Amino acid sequence: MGTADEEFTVDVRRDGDRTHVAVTGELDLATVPRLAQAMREADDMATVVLDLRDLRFLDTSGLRAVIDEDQRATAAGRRLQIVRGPAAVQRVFSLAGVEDRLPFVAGES
Amino acid sequence: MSLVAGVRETAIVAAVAVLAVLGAGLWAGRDLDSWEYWLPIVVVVPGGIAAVLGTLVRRRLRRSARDLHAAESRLEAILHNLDEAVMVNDANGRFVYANPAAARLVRMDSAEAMVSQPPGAVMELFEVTLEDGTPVDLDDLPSRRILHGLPAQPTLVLNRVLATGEERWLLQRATAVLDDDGELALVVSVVEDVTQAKRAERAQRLLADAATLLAAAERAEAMIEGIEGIVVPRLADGCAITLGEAGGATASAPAEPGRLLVVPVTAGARRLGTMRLTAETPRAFDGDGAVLAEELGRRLGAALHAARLTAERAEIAHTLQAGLLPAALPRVPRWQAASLYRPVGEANEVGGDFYDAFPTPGGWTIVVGDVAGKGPRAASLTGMTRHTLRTATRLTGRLVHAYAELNQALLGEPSLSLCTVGGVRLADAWARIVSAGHPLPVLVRGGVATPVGRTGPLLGAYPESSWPEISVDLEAGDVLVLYTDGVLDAVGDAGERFGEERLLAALTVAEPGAAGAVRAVGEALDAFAATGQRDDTAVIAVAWEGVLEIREELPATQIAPAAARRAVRGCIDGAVPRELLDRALVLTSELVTNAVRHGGGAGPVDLRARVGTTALRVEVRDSGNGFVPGPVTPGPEGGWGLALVEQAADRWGVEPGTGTAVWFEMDLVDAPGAGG
Repeated sequence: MGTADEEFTVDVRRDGDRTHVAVTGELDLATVPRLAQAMREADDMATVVLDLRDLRFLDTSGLRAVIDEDQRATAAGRRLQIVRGPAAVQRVFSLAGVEDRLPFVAGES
Repeated sequence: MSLVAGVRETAIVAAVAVLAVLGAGLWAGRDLDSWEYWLPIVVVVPGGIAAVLGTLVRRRLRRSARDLHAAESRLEAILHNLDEAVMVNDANGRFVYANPAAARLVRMDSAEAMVSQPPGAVMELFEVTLEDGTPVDLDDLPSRRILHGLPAQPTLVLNRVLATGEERWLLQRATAVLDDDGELALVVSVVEDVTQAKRAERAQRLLADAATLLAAAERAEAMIEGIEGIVVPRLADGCAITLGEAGGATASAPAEPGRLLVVPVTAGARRLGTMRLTAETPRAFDGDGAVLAEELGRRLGAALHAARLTAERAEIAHTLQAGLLPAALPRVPRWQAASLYRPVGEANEVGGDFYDAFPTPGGWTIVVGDVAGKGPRAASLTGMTRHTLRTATRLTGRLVHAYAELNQALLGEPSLSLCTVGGVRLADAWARIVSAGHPLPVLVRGGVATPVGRTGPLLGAYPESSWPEISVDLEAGDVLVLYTDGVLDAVGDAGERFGEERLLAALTVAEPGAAGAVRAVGEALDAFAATGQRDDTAVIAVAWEGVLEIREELPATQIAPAAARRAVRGCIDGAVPRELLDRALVLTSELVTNAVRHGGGAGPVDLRARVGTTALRVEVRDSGNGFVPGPVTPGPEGGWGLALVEQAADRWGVEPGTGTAVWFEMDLVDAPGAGG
């Protein structure tokens, strides 16, 4: 089994007026930088959709990265939507008490 | 007329004669000494006497003849009115006399008609058999035997009139009358019709057989078959019993009187079915036969109804019994468990044995027990016992408190209620044994089996009771075996008791693990008590697997959290519930992330994880100069990780030392309601 580094992927896709950023694998200390980088590439669009559905793990490193993206988008006037991830991932958001403060949306295909 | 009177008369006559002669003066002038004087006296006196005697005899003869004639008349009147048939035959077998009852017996119009028959002709009108159906040789009948000079006993025969098929039971007796030379002169036969009595006797026997059969049969099919077997051939040639309320259907056979009889099978007012009796030859389905068949229908119905109630009760008892036992042994982390349960007795007999396993603060508790008695009351007490033990132990964490509660509850029952309980609390590498009048559990270690603990009094007997709590430290591989006294009380083929020695011997050679121990006890019992158990048997074995631990040193790089997560998952996956596993991985990741980011120094991160019975502990030590974690309120600088630990762990802390060690613990045994 490889490291989280190798299994982590970020997929950026433009669809009409928005950018989809889909993450797969585990988001932690090692992989957060790659998410940050991908999110900067998606800056050009007015709406960014961060899709967490294929995320298998998230700890507070990842939590902070997501919060950072939300703050960055707000500051830049962009719209960020976060598609909810699996229960184990969402539990971290709720344990940290931030679930209500982040722009979660239901998933679409 | 007595002789004395005759003598008197004779004397009077003689005296008169003598006086007359004397008076006639014939002897006047004669000499008293001469023969002429005495001669007339000698002639007259005997003659007078003879005359008197003759009169007397004639008179007596006439009276005897009158008496005899009167006696004959009375005798004839008696014989004429007798119900019994009386026949008199001479030494050649010809009829001399027959009374009217005899004529009726042989279906003749009159006694005279009967008497005029040649010997033997009369009997050709009948078929005569013994009770079992074997034909009777007429020469064996009492009258014939007497005729031939043989001894004869009273004989009971079944006599069937060939012309009409009518059957009678006849009891025949015969006596010989001998003449003065001792030769056979007459044979007197008496025949009594005992049909009524005989039929009553057979009816009684039939009902008694039916009662015996119905009492012994357990299933409806056996009852029906049994009754059909009794009816045929004793009451009918064919019998068909059908169940179902669609009763009085029409008969398929032609309804000839005497050939078909239909009676209901009833239990009180409820009709359960129908019984059809058929006869190939005209039979007496009138009167007695019909009454008997109806009675059989009632008895069968009552028995079927009772059997149905019994089956329902067994179903209820089975449900009750199932409710007394946990559906499956729960999974206790780091312990293996196996069990064996064999209730004894009929399905109706709900046993008093119970066992239970449940999480309690600080560990798991297993109890095994026995409520005295059987049946619904014992079952209800057992339910209460199990519930009390569970609740009280969960609330207080200690079995002694639960025993005290249960003791009071049992003492408060209206009638004597006793119960034994053997309990163990399981924790990390440790068990505590508390026993109330129950066989002590056996510790099996390295092929040695020893009872452990000390027992206190059984429950429900003494208001002031206390129970010792004995703790024992455990090594990986140790097995604790709890059991009910049905194991010890099992009776062997030679009548001896299984006993503790055999149990210990079986466990000494058991295969390792809980399953091995239970199997060994089961096999030993099977080999010993082939004839069956005396009491309920329950055995629970728990094997301590040892604490699960890992320790890893990870380079303090950004991939350390992922590596730590993998190591911890590999250790505890499967030993803890999934949701707990997920939380543990997150917290592990937090601690390692902190160690990498704040630990300082290039040294490795030391990771330890440990799973015991009650808790998971993860400890991460960095090799830096130690940092004291700041407030756990998340802020721009961080603090998110420990905030999460605070939220998600049951306990956590920091231990200073070489570097900083941060640890957290998660309980594997939650509050009541959780577990297995």
